[in-house]
Amino acid sequence: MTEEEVEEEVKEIEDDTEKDDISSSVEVGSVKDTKSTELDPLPLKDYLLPKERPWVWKSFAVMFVLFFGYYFIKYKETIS
Amino acid sequence: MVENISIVSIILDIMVLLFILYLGQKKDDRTWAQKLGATMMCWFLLCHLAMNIAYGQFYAQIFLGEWYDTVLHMVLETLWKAAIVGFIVTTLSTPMPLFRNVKHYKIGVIFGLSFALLESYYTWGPPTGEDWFVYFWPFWSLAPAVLMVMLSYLAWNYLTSPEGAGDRTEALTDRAGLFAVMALILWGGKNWFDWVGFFKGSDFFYSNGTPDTSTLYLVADIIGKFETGMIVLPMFVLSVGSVIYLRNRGSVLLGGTILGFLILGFIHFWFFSGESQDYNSTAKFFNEEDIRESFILLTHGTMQSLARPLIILFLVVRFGMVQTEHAPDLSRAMMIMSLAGAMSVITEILQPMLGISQLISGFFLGAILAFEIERKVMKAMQPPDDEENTDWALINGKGEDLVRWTNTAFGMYIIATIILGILIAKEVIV
Repeated sequence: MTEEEVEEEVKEIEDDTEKDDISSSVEVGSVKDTKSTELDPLPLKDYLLPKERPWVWKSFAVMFVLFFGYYFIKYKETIS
Repeated sequence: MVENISIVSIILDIMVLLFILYLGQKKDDRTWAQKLGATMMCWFLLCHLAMNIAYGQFYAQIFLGEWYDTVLHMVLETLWKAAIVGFIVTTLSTPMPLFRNVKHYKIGVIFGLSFALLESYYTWGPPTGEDWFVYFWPFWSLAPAVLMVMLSYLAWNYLTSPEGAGDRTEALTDRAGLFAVMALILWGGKNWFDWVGFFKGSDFFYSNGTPDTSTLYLVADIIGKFETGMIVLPMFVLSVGSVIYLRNRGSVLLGGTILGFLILGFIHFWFFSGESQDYNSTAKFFNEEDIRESFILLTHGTMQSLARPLIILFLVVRFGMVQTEHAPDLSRAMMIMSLAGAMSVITEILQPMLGISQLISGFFLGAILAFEIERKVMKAMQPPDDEENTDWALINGKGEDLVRWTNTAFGMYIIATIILGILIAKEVIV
């Protein structure tokens, strides 16, 4: 292998490495190619309060209040 | 003919515990979150095993009325608290970490375990003789109640999410939601059959808990009622969620299972009219003279003794906490024994109810082996190939160190409780 060929091969490897770095940073928001990589967890706000389904936490809160409201009424009836 | 269901549960606990411990020692590419989850599941199984042995068939052989009975009661409660903290830790870390800063995590765990130790002191120690004393377990029971709120919300988020959203957030929502649903069934399942009676306003309140003039008692009573409510709320949330889930995704396995609880709840209500039954009868396999008792076993008994270790087996395999390819034959044997054991118990319970002989469980075992159903079940339990399995980045510490630190903290907590128990039982602390 000549010196030029070696340099060309090193350049190719460096290019591939650069591509991998770029793709891994781009893929942070995707499910693909995320095995055994070190990533940050999602922001809790986005995860627990999904933007496209804002009714999730609201409906849960309504169920919570309704349930314990009913519980309280029955509890008062029972002890009285 | 009366047999004891706790023996089956003891065997299952030991089998699954050894299975996790063996596979957990193998070198592989598991992440710190998966290793942490595996050890937390071991703590749960250890606790469940100890409870089964001590409070089940062998109660009279273990509790002899000596001073060490106090220590033993305290240690058993301690293990149960460790199991609850372990599930909270797993919920916060394994599907996706809900924390990033290791310091915050450690402060939370130290606070939780210290609070648990303090509760042991107040429940068993000298304060029991004080005028202001109230039974302090309700204060501790805030922890499982909070766990149920967290799990219910994660499950609701999952069941109401559309199929195939494809982005990372929805993928992780599905993952955490599945964990939450299984954990909810594990912790609340056996009590869900009372929930229909709850709406009848009947004897759901195990004690009326009329608050007296003490503020401390009032606070303890409110917390106790909150915990009781949080046993039932998940069933309410999951029932509504599973209807949405069936509509969105059309998958009957998960949605149908949850709705099955609802149907069993109605049957339970039909049998008992919303009244509490004798929970002591759940320790026995069946009573041929009373079909209602057999029904309790099918609901409370199987959920408490049989389903819990099997759900742990599902969780550790599905979430990659152990990798079954290290021991394929052992994993297959584990699956066959679990399926055969479960089928044997269920047919035994059904025998007096439907006239089905328990002996037919042998035929089911034949079918499992002939069609290699255990392989299909094991394959279905494996994490999907395209699922994200990230080695989550943390601030102020490393994941591997965190696993070691958490287990050391649990061990120290148990040792501290044993020492405290001996000091109380020997009346060194008065």
